[in-house]
Amino acid sequence: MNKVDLISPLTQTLFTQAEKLWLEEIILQLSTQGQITDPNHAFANLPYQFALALKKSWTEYTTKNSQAKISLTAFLQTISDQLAKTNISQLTLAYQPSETQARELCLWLRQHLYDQQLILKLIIKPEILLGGILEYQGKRYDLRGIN
Amino acid sequence: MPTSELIIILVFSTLLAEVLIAVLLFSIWRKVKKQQTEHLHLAQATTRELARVLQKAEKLDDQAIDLSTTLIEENQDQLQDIFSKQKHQLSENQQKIIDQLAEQTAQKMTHFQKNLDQISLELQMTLKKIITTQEKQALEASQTALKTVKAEWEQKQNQQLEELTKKTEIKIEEIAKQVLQLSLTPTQHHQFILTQLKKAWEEGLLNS
Repeated sequence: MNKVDLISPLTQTLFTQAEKLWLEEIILQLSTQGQITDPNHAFANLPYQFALALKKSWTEYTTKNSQAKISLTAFLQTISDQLAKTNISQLTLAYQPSETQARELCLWLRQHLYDQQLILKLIIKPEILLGGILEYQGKRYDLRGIN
Repeated sequence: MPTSELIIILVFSTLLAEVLIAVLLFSIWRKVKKQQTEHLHLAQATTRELARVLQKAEKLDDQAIDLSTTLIEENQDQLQDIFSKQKHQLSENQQKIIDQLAEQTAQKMTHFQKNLDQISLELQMTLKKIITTQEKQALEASQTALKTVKAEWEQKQNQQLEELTKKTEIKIEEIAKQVLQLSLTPTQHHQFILTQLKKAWEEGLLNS
């Protein structure tokens, strides 16, 4: 029914797997609340950035599917399905990054790995002493070089 | 007959009949009373007899209890005597068996020790015979070979030890560096991983 990329606007506000899981849960809750018609009302309790991204996706969705009768519940279900398929890269770190640092790492990897929907699964293991270990698309990169 | 005579006759006959009836009733009453008295006497006699029998039975019962108590006491003493005697006899028998076994074991041990000494002596004699001059030479040769092998092994061990020492020193240096790096702040860690990511990307490791 739709080939619209609904995830890109959302991933601009998502950087870690914890955020992704949280948003997936909220979207799933909304999509199971029966018939929802008013997006402003439905997204009222969401954080501003997420609500804005969802509205943007909803607008694109309704524009592209203007011929068909569109259900907000179906849109949310589609978002939930697409979000579940988002690429996840695992990054094991020796330190606990702040939200800004996690965002910075995710943005760097999206830019250099040419994957704008990349989400980071962060694992903290102080025993690796320094740096980190990146796992992306089945490959493992050791970033603990001592120079 | 005049009416007055008839009345007198009738009155007398009636009185006679009443007297007769009274006599008859009195005789019946006496008979019944006599029977009651007899029955009462008989019942009293039976009761007395029964009391005597019961008393006798109680006496017999007491006698039987006394008799059985006496018998039990006598038998208990006898049984205790018998048991003590048997126990004593059993202990004596056990001690005898233990003594016999100890004696037999000691005898066997002595015999065994003698045999062992004899075999040991024979073995030593045989060994002395076996060790000939040639065997002594072979022994010396094997000792020399052993010394050579030992020297080579020691040299090899020393080399391995030196290598291991070098590796350990390098590892110690690495660990020392890591320990130093552990004292970095999260921000310094973050900068380090960004540098490492950049380096890996520039070396073409990440953009395959």
